[in-house]
Amino acid sequence: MFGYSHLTGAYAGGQAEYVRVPYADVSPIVIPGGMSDEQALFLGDIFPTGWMAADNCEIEPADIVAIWGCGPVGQLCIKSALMLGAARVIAIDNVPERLALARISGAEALDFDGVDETILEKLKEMTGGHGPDKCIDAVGAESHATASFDAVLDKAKAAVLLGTDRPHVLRAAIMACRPGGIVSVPGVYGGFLDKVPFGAAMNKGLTIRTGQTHVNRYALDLLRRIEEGQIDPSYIITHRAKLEDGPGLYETFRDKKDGCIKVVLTP
Amino acid sequence: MKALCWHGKGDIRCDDVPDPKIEDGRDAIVKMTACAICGSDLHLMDGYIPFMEKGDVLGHEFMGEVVDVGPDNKKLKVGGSRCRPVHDLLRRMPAVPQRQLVGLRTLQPHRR
Repeated sequence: MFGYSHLTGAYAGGQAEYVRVPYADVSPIVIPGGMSDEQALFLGDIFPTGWMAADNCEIEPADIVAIWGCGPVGQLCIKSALMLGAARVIAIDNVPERLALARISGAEALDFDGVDETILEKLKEMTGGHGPDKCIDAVGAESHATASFDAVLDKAKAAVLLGTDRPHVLRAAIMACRPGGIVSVPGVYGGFLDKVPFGAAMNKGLTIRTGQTHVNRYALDLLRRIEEGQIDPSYIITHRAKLEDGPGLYETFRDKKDGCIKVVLTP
Repeated sequence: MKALCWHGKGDIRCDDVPDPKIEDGRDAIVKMTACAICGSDLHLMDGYIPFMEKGDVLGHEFMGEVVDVGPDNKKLKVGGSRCRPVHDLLRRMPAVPQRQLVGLRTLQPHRR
């Protein structure tokens, strides 16, 4: 992998003026002349990630899909789920501009800080009592979930190195999903989980699908959809800057300051 | 050339580093025209991912113009072609694009 530690080969990454691309005759996607950089850039990672997460849900026409996390991947999960035919998409987050973008894309936005009931009760209420048919965890190991009891426990355990990941969203997705549904996990996890309700998953007969994105499986189809005007992935870009401004924008992105959803840098 | 480099938890800097060169016949050198910061780059910034070393160049969301190509690369051409390299460095593409491509990833450069 490019730029992702010595665990993955120590290949120098692409936030640079020039990049060596090994095995360049296999996976790189050739971009047609008529497509802008901003339209094409997300084809190599986050657009197929959002698409695969939705594709893994085997969406059927009447499906209600609940998506936790309205970051860049979550936003593309929302669009992908709607393009794949979901009847309704419920998008869950607590950052106002991210919920606003989710609404513009056609989702119903659910602010997890703004509800008196728990998310599970709210989701049941929004789905006629049975829960979403398909659930996507687009958050992964570093969920925030402010004040909920299990999230506080996760943080405490991580602080004293008793646990590594914080699976608050995964727990919620398993508990919310209707029996026989699918929990799709594009969110990245690294280590060990604690207190995950696998009994609920087993007894409800859930299917859990996860994995790093198989980009090349989807890339050409998604390239065609962009060319046909079905989607322009550049809609998620909020910040544009020069490469040398990158360090400051890492902080802006991390801290979700200034309405930041996605940063693109040019040389 | 300029590159964003990791220097420890919370410490990302724009450094001046040597330009990359063709090392293997199948390599290409891409001149970056656009790149992005991925949410998973934040795990590197926050110190969640082990085996990072000071000076490592970051970034797997990038694209650009092909400016050099190794002699064994029959797919890409210098000049006039833009490509979006994929972060999965697959050594080969299976004849049928099955769901599980992740097993074909090259994670270690010395593996055959």
